Amino acid sequence: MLERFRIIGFPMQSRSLAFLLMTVASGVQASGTESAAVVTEHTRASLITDAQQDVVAGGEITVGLQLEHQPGWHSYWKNPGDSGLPTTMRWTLPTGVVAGPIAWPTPAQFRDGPLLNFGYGGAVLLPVRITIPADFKADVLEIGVRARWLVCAEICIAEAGEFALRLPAGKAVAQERLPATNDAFARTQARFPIDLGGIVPARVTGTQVVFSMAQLPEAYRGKDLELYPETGGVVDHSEPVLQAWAERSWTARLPVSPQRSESPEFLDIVVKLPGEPSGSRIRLQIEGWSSP
Amino acid sequence: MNKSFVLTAAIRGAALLAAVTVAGCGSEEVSAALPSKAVVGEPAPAFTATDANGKAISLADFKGKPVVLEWTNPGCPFVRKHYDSGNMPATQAKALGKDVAWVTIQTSGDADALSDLTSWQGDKKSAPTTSVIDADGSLGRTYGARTTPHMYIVDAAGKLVYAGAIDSVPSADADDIEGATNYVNQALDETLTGKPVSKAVTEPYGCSVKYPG
Repeated sequence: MLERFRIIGFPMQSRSLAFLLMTVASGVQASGTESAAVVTEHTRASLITDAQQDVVAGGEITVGLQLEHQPGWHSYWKNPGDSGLPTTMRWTLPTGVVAGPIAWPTPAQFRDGPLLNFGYGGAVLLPVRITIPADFKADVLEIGVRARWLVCAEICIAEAGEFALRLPAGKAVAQERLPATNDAFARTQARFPIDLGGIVPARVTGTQVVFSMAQLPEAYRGKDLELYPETGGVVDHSEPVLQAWAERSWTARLPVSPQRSESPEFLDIVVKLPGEPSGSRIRLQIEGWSSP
Repeated sequence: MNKSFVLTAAIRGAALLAAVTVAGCGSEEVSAALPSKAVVGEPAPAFTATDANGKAISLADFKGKPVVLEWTNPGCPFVRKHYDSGNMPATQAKALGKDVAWVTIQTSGDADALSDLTSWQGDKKSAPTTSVIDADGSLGRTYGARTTPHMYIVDAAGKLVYAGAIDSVPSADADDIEGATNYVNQALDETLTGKPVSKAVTEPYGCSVKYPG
């Protein structure tokens, strides 16, 4: 299978659609670094592994759902914004092997009339850490996942796929794998929001959550930033966030949704410069919610 | 049975230019300015619509009985999940059986939206009290409608008592309906027995409401 991928040729962008369709139609079960792909009119999806990591008892590896959207189409972040649905994964794993949560890369904004969504166009990799128990003895680690994602342009299509990987266990196999999947994980590493650490106190004032902070990166200074609340049901996403700089201190006024369903004490927000692939994660501690 | 009203689109002429008035309670002094937004626990913003025959209807016509407002779009997979499975028509029938009024609303600038909606409703055995096309999006903006479906309940006294999802499992998969809590059934049961609505605001899920322009 690996040889076959070599013949077809990497990088991934150059693989022919004809081959991909063949893969699906014939139900070929890929092994190694990439599962068989599910190809729709809007998306190419597959499960890949990080080739840098070996499958050993007591260790962990990272796998990821790779979604490549046709131009104009996007799928959604953990908080999809005003509408949409986050991508979900349901794992089938050997006893004792555990999948962690999706490590979501920094999303982008998608405006649709008065509504605002958070998600990914182009290609995105949604990595998940797989933990292997100390008593794992099998020669092969079999990983299965049923993923569901929503792709939208003018219209929305609910898509799903089942993906499987068979990874040789207990020996060093990294060097046999192919570089392209490594690149995908490395590129995604650069898209994770950077945790700024600490807690930023915030207060509910009228219909806004107001906070000030001085820990943001130098490059942000004086600029209008994009804000992505990690939890829905709190912020009116489509309303502009009033923000102001005073030297290093940035003050933001988040508009609270008139139909707020949550009153979280802590709210994580990704903040970034428009157009940048990655942002910074801040954690607000919010005081002053009125009931309910 | 299925009376259908058009807010503005059917006749895109002068006659219906002022057909839709959305007014927030207590905000009459703002007159033509932005209407107040729908907030759960407060009086539901009034709206007046004119049907294709020129007959006016308004939210106030239903006073004395609870009203469900359902945002829909027959082309949306989340809507189809709840219609193809029969879940939404069943929820409608249950509500109408308890003397609740049900207004199905589609925000759409498409001139054929009303006929497409009503013929689709016929196919799905959906029989709401009435169906409305929100052609300029003003009703959707006032209620903060974001998704299809997006559900609202106005109680018999005219207070907005629920805004949010149809149920508790956000997905486009009909298999998830069985294990989900139907928030509309739950809120109607509560409000009809004089109880406060336990889940008054939830996060709606679905396709974007297709605002024109």
